[in-house]
Amino acid sequence: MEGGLSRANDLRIGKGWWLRVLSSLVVLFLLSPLLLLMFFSFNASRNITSWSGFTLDWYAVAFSDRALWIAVRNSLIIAVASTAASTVLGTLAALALGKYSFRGRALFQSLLHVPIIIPEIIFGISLLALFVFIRMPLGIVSIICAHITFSISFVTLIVLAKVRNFDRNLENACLDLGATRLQAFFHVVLPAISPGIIAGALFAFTLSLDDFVVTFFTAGPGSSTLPLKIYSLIKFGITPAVNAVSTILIVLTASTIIAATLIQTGAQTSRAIRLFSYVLLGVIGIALCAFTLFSPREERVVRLYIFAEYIDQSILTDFQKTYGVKVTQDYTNSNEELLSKLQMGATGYDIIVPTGFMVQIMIREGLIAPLNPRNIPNLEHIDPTFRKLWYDPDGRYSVPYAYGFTGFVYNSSVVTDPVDSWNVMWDERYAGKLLMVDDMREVFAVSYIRLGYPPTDTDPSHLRQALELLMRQKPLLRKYEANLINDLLINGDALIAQDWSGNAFRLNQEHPEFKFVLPKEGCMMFIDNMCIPKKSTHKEEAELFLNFLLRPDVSARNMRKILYAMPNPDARRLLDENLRRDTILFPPVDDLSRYRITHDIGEFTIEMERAWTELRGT
Amino acid sequence: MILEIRNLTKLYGATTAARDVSLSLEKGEFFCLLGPSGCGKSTILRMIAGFERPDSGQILLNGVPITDLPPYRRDVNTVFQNYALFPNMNVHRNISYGLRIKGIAQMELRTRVEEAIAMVGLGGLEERMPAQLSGGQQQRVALARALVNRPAVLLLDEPMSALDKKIAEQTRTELVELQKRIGITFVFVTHNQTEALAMAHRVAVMKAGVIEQCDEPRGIYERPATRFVAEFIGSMNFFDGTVVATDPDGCTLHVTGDTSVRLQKPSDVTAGDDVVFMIRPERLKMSLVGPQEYENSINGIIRESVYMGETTVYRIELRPGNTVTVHVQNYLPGMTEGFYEPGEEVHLMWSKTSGGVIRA
Ligand SMILES: Nc1ncnc2c1ncn2[C@@H]1O[C@H](COP(=O)(O)OP(=O)(O)O)[C@@H](O)[C@H]1O
Ligand SMILES: [Mg+2]
Repeated sequence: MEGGLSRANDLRIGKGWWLRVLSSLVVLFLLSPLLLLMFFSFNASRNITSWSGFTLDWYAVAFSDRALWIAVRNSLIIAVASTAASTVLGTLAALALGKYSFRGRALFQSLLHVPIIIPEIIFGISLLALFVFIRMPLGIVSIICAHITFSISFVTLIVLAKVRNFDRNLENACLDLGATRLQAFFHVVLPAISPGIIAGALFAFTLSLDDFVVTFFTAGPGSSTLPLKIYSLIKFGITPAVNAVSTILIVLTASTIIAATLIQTGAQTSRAIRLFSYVLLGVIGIALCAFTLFSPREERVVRLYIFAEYIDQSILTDFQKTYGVKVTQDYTNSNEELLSKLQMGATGYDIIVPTGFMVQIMIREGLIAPLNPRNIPNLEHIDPTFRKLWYDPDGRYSVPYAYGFTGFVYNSSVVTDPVDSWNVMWDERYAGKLLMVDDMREVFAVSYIRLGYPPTDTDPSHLRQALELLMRQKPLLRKYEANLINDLLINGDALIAQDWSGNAFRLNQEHPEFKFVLPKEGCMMFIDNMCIPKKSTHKEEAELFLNFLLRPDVSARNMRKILYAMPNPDARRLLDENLRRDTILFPPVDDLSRYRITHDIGEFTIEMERAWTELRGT
Repeated sequence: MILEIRNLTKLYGATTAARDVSLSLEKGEFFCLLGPSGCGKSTILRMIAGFERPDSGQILLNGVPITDLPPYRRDVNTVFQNYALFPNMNVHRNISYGLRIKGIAQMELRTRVEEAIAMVGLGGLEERMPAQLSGGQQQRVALARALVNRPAVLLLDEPMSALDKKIAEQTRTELVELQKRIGITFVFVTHNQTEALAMAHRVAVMKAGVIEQCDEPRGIYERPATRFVAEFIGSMNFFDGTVVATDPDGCTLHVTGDTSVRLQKPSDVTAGDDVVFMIRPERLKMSLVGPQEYENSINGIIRESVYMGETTVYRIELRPGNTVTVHVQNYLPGMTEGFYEPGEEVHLMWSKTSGGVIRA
């Protein structure tokens, strides 16, 4: 069939060395990010840009990380189910469109393009609206339905091209030779359009596997996929464990595609290779099934909606062992996302983890339920400084979970002057070696603090002053950076960088010359809290779990794992000496007045965004 | 009678693919449907094969109505226009497909396929895939694939149109011999008149879904029933005329005004009828000298001559606005003189048995 295309030609067109070089370069360009990712999955350091030796540790980490595998499993279940359904439906639709004319065929065919043309985000939102409207619970099933809706268009269009090219006389020839329509379909039609079907299925599979936007909107409790989890990890930096999982996925996908290609080339390949391909596909299939089978469903559950890797998984397992209540995790990316999910009417989450200012908004919006302190006696272990803060004055709605600061990190082996002030971020001696985080509120907060205004200030003239100050700083900056701060510091591309304490702590553990400073003028602080949404259906279990989390030994274990400070002095006492006394993790906070906790600035955000755009644009 | 078609009509929207088509085929006949492309030949084949349902009319095979049977219940096989070989099966599997579907036992299947392969001369190519075959070989596979089922009637839809001229001509004789040997009734569709005349026992000429004439090749060529048939097959000169007298032998006409033409052929015209007189360009004898042993003659001036190798084609003006075409064999035995030149005045002569009339 394809033989004619690849036949050598006498003019030797397409044989030049430069064409080969060019095509190799194109392939390399396409594949190099993947190869790099696979390469760094064997990197001993957790930073992406520096190589510090070969290790298989990240694979071990990945394999033992149950939460990660649950996300992988969810992704695969969704991909397999939506691929199967959309391939069958899409093929049937293509056959109908290609072979028969009926009323509304043209309309149907143009409608097929809608999911492709329409922005994915609008598609996602409208699906969410639909699911909420028809009261379909959000979860794996809703994601599968969502993926089917867009995959079906792709499958139909790809298969339709094959159906259009299909010579109707081939089918007639079958009938003519005594075959029934069904026999003709399986003997001739299906083989002829199967390359299209396979291509469509592979397309649907990959689309589903890496879809983020639509999944994001239609996901519910217990259905976080790998992309959702990876995106959520950004808060703490992507670890090579994710690279390891991705490598496994790439190998899996690549072998599927290779097997499919081998099968398709048909007569040209030997029987052995084809047999091998079928076996390979079979093994992959069985592996997928095995994934879908482990993890039975429990009756009593607490569903956690939290940043990825923001809680020690073993605590969840222990809780289940002790109380027979299962705890599942779904992953969030931001406070804003959390808010919109709840406002959209998402149900099923039992515990959410908003930052202080978001707690205030959610109380105002009536999205979270008051807690019953009698069910959480371990609240007594919480540092009273952290209770009843401005965002929840009665402490009725939230339990402080973890906190951190935004200060700056400097390389003490190069910067030898004493540095204790934000002034250093404007110091011309370090021009080109300074980093600010790529976060509007954090950047303006520093400027406000230097000017002596509270970061909650909403006076437009103060905003102008803050902008002017930042405009003067900008030429000195290397860049605004969010994800690779540590890497740039290790490389020596930067000497001083605004940074979050958790990030700084990790850097300091591996490279002690990097010191963290909480400037004397003050700095931003965040406190994440645990709350129970009003729509939670397991409030009792959720409170039981909160109480468990606050137990000093559990809290200590959690801190050791996630390396964020928790306002639980009794737990802190149980930590190792070096951790307990670490000043990055636990700066003295007897008086919170030195720290500015991020407020909601409401409508003023728009003004600030305008200023931020102006700053970034010039 | 093996195949009978009665008043078959098929419309596609405003297009008439077949109107009131009736045909009867004898067993062992090589029947040809001839007509320009788009006239409905394939549609008729497809209705016989069962891929298309007629709007009205009946098809009988061996006296049994098959009009409403699905294709797989008709004892008829087809060689498709582009052969429609199964691209995913090799030659052997293509040919054996029909037998496999019918569940013929292995032993018999093998001998019958071998027979069919030998019959069309494809020995040694059994393992090839269709894409690895030449056009001629593909056509043979298609033929063998159909014939191996030993159908009552074989339908062939322009089986030569995809071959180059030389191969097509060679295949023509082979096909005729094959048909004679196996004795299966052929319904052969073509738009190529030479093919139809050379191969068929009988030819039906179609125009826009209607059969204009159904006759033996000689009858079609010599006695075209309509102007369309006359023009479509070979070339023809037409003269408007009037019948002046009839007799049992034939009739006398006046054409191009007052030239008297004697026609000794039975025809159902009566004196006073307006008719069209037709005569083939090669039946006109051209000469510089006057009437010889021919009954009819007319003169004119050569306006154009086109050398065609085998023949030279002259356009001769009889009188202003009235021209005829004459084909003259080059190198006739005994013809030593050169060619006629434009501008010369010539005499055209023909016998009373040449030409024919149709009603105007
Ligand atoms: N499936 C169809 N739908 C609409 N018109 C058709 C269809 N098949 C054939 N026709 C029309 O019917 C007429 C006869 O077609 P066909 O039998 O294929 O002609 P032929 O084989 O003589 O070239 C043509 O005008 C063609 O366009
Ligand atoms: Mg045709």
